[in-house]
Amino acid sequence: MTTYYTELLTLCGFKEDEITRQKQRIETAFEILQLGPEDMKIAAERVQNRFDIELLGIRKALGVWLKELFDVVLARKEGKKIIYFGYPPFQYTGLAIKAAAKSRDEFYVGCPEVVFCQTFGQIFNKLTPILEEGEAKGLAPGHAMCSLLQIKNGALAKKMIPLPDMSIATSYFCDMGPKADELMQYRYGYPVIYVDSCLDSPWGEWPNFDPERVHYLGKQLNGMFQSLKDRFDIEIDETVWKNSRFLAGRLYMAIDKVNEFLTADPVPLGVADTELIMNFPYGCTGIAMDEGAEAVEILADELKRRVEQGIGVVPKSAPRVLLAFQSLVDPVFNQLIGEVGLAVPATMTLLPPPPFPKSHPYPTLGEKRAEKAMFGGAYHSSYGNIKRIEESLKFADVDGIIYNYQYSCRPLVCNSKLLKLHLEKETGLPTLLLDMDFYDDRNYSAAALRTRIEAFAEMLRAKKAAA
Amino acid sequence: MEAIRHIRSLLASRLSALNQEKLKGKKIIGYIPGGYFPEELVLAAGAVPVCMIRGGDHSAVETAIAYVDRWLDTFYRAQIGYGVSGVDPYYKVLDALFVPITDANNRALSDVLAYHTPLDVFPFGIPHTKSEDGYGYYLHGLTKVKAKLEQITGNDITDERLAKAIEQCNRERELLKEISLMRKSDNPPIASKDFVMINHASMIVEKTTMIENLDSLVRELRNAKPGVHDRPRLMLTGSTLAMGDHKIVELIESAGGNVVVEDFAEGIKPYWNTVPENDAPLNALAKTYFMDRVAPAWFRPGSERLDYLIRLARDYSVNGVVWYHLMYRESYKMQSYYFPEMLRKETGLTMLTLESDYDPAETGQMSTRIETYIESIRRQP
Repeated sequence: MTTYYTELLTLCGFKEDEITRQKQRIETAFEILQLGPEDMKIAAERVQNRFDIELLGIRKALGVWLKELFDVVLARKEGKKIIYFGYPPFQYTGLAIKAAAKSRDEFYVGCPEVVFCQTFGQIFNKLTPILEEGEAKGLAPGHAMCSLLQIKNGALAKKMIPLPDMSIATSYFCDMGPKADELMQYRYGYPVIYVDSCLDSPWGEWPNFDPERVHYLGKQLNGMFQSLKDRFDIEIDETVWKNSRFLAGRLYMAIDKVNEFLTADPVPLGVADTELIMNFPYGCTGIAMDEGAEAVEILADELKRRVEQGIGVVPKSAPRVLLAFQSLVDPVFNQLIGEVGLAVPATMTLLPPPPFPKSHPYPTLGEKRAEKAMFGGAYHSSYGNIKRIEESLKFADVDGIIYNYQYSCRPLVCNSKLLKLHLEKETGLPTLLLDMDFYDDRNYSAAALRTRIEAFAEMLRAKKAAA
Repeated sequence: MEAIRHIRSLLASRLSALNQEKLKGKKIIGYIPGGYFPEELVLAAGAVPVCMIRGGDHSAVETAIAYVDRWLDTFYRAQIGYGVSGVDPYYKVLDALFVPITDANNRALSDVLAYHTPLDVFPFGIPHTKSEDGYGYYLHGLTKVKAKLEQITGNDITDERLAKAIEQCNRERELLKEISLMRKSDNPPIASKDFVMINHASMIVEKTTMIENLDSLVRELRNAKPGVHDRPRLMLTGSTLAMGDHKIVELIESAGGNVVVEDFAEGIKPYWNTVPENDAPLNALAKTYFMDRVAPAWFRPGSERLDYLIRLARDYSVNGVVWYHLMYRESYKMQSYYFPEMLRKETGLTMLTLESDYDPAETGQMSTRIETYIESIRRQP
């Protein structure tokens, strides 16, 4: 039976029997989200024009995001306990909760604002009313408030997502996330756990750090584990943590394969499409771990064939750049990188980690995780973040860097200009700074960005030719 | 008043005095305001503390734009502007700058100055939650500050020296508190612009001289016979009230309002609590500066401050609240959204929110809004 959403869901890799089986859930979710036939038409067109749906892996990845959307919207109705975590998440925390639970269906654990970016942004192009609601309810426009938080605030205010039983605030990295959680706590009364840290390392310290930083952050993480035990009777220990890594193991292995094929010349996949898989591990702990992994595995096989056949999204020998971040909502921006003839073999979040220094024998799970966070750079300091990128660039074959950053993300804004100076000096790679918004395409002009990226691409081509 | 005039002149000549101290071999230690850097440690090390509390100057904000994005707090962009200019006399006189890291705004300041200037920048972290662990981390930070100061000055910060410095700074806090409390009366004997000025001076002027002058001021104020005022009493609160950022207080006063109490993260030194003098000095400092003081808006959760503001509003019998924060200080912006509802529920008072980027072009619009607000208070039954 054909419904108003059949075309879109089929384009997004749903099978006919799946649509029939899930009919009730799909329709309830779309009703809550106020998405009707007109929205489906727009979305179907957008999916066809903006994504490489010739690839089954991409179609399925789009479908996984829609399923994640249904899961978060219906979580309360389906009797799940709900835990939201902020973005960027503390790696594996959400999965550890899943691994410790009696069954994986007992909890919805995720980052709903990321799910909304991928669906209401990438697929439906209908984030504006949600953003406006988030602005009206306390995260005002014109003050460089994080639009990702505006989405969460707006979706809660519009009752598109259920109130959580607990929210874990990104107090270890960002100042605005926990304050926004405080605002929502005031308005809705749900409990918030603040996992605090002090990013106070002096310039030049990374990869070293004051051990007290690890003790403090470690204790905060241990406190979070205790709160989870007290509130939900779930116990997170070393074994659970290891198991949580297995939950994401298949997904990470598949992503690694895709990454490997992205290093080919010509690059076989565009930025708009790689974006679809990047946030599976950062925004989700549910269906993306299984069906998402399957989608990425299929994609990897498809890319393998493209590489063998020499098929690329830009010509062979095109200048290659590291793109810091993809837009989470705007395939138009993501596409224009390829349209100006730049190949993107790597993005910052998918850069290989540099070898970690030797660990100290910290006694608690929280401290062990905190130590890893220090090595990762971003949770260490601005310098740590920049050096981490510099170290990883040794493993990426690129001619330049586009450091596009979220203008309303204070931790990124802190170091943008220092990053350009430092990386150009240390690596010799030309670096283009782009001030933009990954979560709200109202806050920049794609045409203006295009002009700057075109000029940068031209410069890289000339440099390459001269070499 | 004589003491106020004297303190003003001490402020005006402070830079030259600092240069003279430096010539005598004293180390000049700068620190970023916010109430988390105990001046006591510098005094006990035999060095001279000076707070980088100047602001209100748009040209400094413009200088910063080449070094950092505009999406950071105005006060910190101004500090970056002063710091990187290479000609700012206050930054030039420093031997080191201590930066309590409270949020991304002053983290940017610390990193940019460390990268672009030869200044010895020493960041240390301020946890965002009041807890035993947070206290422990702050205390650890103070231990590092102490060691760094000993290294810079070559002097040991002994418990005896520290105890003496605590006693001295306690006296200053007590005097500031006494002056502030006088403003609870129907006819406050000191104007807000003068109270703010002496508070700023307490972070810059030589400590012994400052205390002597505050002592004189208290005596003068006790004997003063203030005129009768019927101007609306206001509380002024927000993120930063820098030295040189006179606009807000002047506009309120010229519109007929009377600020009787202020609360700012940067710009009003916390003076309500004294440091216990019989405890281990470093622990006592950590307890008073971190645990006892009312936490600014960037704490998580930050509700302690909002409850405190409601208490202040009642204690000082204010008729309204003016909330003044600088652009892109997100923690204050967010609280300014829901605090009016709390305030109204608890006290029936209204609140006016104003924002600044130190841009002279803001003045006209700000003035209209303040005039309207004060008029609306006057018309209340």
